[in-house]
Amino acid sequence: MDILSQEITIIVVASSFFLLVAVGIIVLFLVYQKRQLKYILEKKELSNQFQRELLNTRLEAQEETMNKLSTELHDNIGQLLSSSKFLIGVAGRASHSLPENLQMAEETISKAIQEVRALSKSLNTEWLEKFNLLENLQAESDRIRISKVLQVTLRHPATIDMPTDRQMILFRIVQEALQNAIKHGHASNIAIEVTQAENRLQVSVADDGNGFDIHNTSLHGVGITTIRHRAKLLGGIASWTSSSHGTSVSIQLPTYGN
Amino acid sequence: MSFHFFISNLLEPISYGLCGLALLYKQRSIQLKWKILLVYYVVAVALQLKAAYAETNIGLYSLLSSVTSLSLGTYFYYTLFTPWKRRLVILFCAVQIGYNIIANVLLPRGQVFDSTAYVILSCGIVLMAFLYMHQILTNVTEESLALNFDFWFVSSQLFYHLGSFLIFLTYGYLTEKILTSNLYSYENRIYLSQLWRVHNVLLFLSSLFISAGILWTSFRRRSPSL
Repeated sequence: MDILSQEITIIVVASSFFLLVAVGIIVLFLVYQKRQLKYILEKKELSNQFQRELLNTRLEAQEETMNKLSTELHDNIGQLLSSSKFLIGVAGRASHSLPENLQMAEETISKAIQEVRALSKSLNTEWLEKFNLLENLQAESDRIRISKVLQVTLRHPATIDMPTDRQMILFRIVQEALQNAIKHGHASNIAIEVTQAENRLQVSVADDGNGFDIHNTSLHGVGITTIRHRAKLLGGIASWTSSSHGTSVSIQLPTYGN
Repeated sequence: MSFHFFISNLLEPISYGLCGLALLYKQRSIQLKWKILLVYYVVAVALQLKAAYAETNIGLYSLLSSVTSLSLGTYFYYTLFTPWKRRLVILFCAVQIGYNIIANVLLPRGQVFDSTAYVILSCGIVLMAFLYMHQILTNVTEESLALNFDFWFVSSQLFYHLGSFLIFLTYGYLTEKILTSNLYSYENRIYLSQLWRVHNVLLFLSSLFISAGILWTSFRRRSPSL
């Protein structure tokens, strides 16, 4: 009886040890899996951070180019146009009466000067930093409207709560969407709508142009990619709906208020 | 009905029944592999209840080992998705069923607990549990493991089969030793049944673990705020 009792005791003790091993394996497995998950998440975060920095650098380079372009437009082309207008004026004063075609030329140059100034302004970052998104959108809409080829309607709340640098990126997104509507969509009407609810902002640009096949990725040019990347940079998303009656791009993003 | 009788004979069917009930609770959303396990637990309860009151239950335990290997083999076959792991599962089931046919039909041995069948079963299930863990570690997802019911189930199987391994390994030998020597006595039979009671408690703990897993995963998935 004693031998059997001893054997059974040994088996029970050894089984307890095996049981502890089982528990140990499960706990170790849980800890190891958690560490691995942490490592993967960190790697993912680093990759996202790298992407964001890359995108930021690209945007900074783009802004710098736009600034240079703005300066060139204002200081060079603007000046050339002003000189031309001045010369036409001088010619008119010398001959006491300006021929009709020269009068038209003077008017066209005045219009060109106005447009170049507006364009120069919209490209200038310093100017953008001074004003908010809504004012910039208004100016951009007016600038397009002046051409009298397109009708632009703009609907927006009285104010939006968003840091200036984010407003600037959002403005560039809208500019890109407008460019697409004019250049590729051949639209005649564009509607821009800005809505804000709690901590989210939505901007939509809808046109009545040709539309495009949103599933055909070969049609996705630089414009669409840029819009998508910029929206991602702001922590938001850009989505498109398109048919033969027009295209609508919607940008939804958190505001991260001032 | 004494407490000892309850632990020795009824704790096993209760444990299987508890798992079956827990799976029944989850039934609305369960996949095919869980439905197979649900059927397995119903069969296990029936076999265990019959074994509890039968004069000799050795054949029923052999049958249970075959049913267990087939059911858990099917479960692991659907859970593991690497072909070589699935081939190992099939090999395990084939070895288990092959052995049971030889030991019970072709070359039937004496009326003692068949340790070999249960050792093959435990080794196979522990191996498959490790294969599952390997799969989890090589395919890390962002979802918490506590919300993965497979993890709860496999952990409980590992706990039970690793904990009971030595009992399975020695129970047949000890029974034979008592029966074939002058050690056969009432006290020794009590000693031996105590060893089986330890096994039954482990089985019950593992079924509690499975039930807790089902309740926990269902509760957490229904409470998005948690």
